[in-house]
Amino acid sequence: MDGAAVGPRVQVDVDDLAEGMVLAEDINDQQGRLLMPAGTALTSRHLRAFQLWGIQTVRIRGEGAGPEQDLRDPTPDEVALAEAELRPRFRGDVAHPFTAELLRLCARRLAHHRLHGGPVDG
Amino acid sequence: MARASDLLKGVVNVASLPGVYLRLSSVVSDPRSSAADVGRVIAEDPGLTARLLKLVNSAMYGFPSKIETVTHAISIVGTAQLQDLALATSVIRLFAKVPPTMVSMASFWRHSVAVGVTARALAARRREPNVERFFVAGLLHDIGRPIMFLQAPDEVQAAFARAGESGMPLYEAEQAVFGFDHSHVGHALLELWKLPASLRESVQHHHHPERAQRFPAEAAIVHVADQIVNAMHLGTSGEQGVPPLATAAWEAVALPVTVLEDIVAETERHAEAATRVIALDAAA
Repeated sequence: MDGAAVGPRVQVDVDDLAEGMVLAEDINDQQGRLLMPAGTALTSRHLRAFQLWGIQTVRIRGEGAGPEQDLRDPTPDEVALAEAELRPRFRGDVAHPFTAELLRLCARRLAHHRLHGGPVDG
Repeated sequence: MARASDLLKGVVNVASLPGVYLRLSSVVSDPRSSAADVGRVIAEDPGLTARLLKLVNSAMYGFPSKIETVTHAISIVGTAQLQDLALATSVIRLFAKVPPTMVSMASFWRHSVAVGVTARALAARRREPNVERFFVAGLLHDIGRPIMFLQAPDEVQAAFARAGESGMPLYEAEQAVFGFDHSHVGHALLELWKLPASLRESVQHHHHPERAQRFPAEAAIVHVADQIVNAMHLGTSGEQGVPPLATAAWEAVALPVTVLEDIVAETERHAEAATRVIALDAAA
């Protein structure tokens, strides 16, 4: 288990895990049965499973953070700019709580993609 | 003026669903058949088997270990759910030969699969019993469009031009040009295929979910998912903006706006992979 090195890895407390982090090692139960293979990209379901299984720390690939974590968040100005660009695409009432929240999330997403790459449109 | 169902005449590839799906339906609906019988029908079609296994092994399902066999997939996902997934991957292949007109089929499927993924995520939040049914409903919601592209390209072009000039949603421009819109064509197709009423209603009423009589929640969820995916601009089925929200639909979905952050993140994470698994190899 502690053998072959496959790039940087770090021990992370289960409470500090985030979705998108990638397991550096297989996770086995006490009988040695495989629960989750190395290379698994963690989802919310996995994080809940760790709690259920009573696992406290796991080894994660990279510098201790998933790809999203090293990246800085867009500034409020960058988000506002993205929001101003997206707003004309919305034909309905942008003051409706659903639409307002959707616009806010899409603006943040667009600003994030502009900074760090990712699909900027369809 | 022609009716929506008239557009289906002479579209050879969509005249009926693939035989394997029909055999699967009759086995699933037969109370005497077992999961093993369902597995045998799927196994007759190696392509379908491979696509189903790729799909249930994709991140959207988040199963901790690899699912290697159809039998294992049935035991985890369930027979009715696997039947719905088989429908999803079969339908896409029927449309593999549609030539790109106003939008590419790659962009069309990217939008459609993303709406399926989002509808599934919303249904899961509502603890709906069969979330795959919502995945299929989302996937098929705009299925009338490629039929229109194939059968009436000039009128489609006129509808696009009208929407572009006026800023009206494309479905309203279709209504003005054709006297009906793609949701009616999609409904007629699903009727031809004898698919369940819940799917037909959610496709027929995805722009006006308040009109759904028997399955208002299904239609509302597909409407909301379409809103989210149009806002995220993941592919397009021709619509260039985000049409107005049917506010009653969001009320019918009965989830707090705070779930949207997770739903958008889930769609972002899973839509691309799901599109690759079920759509791209069909388009190749």
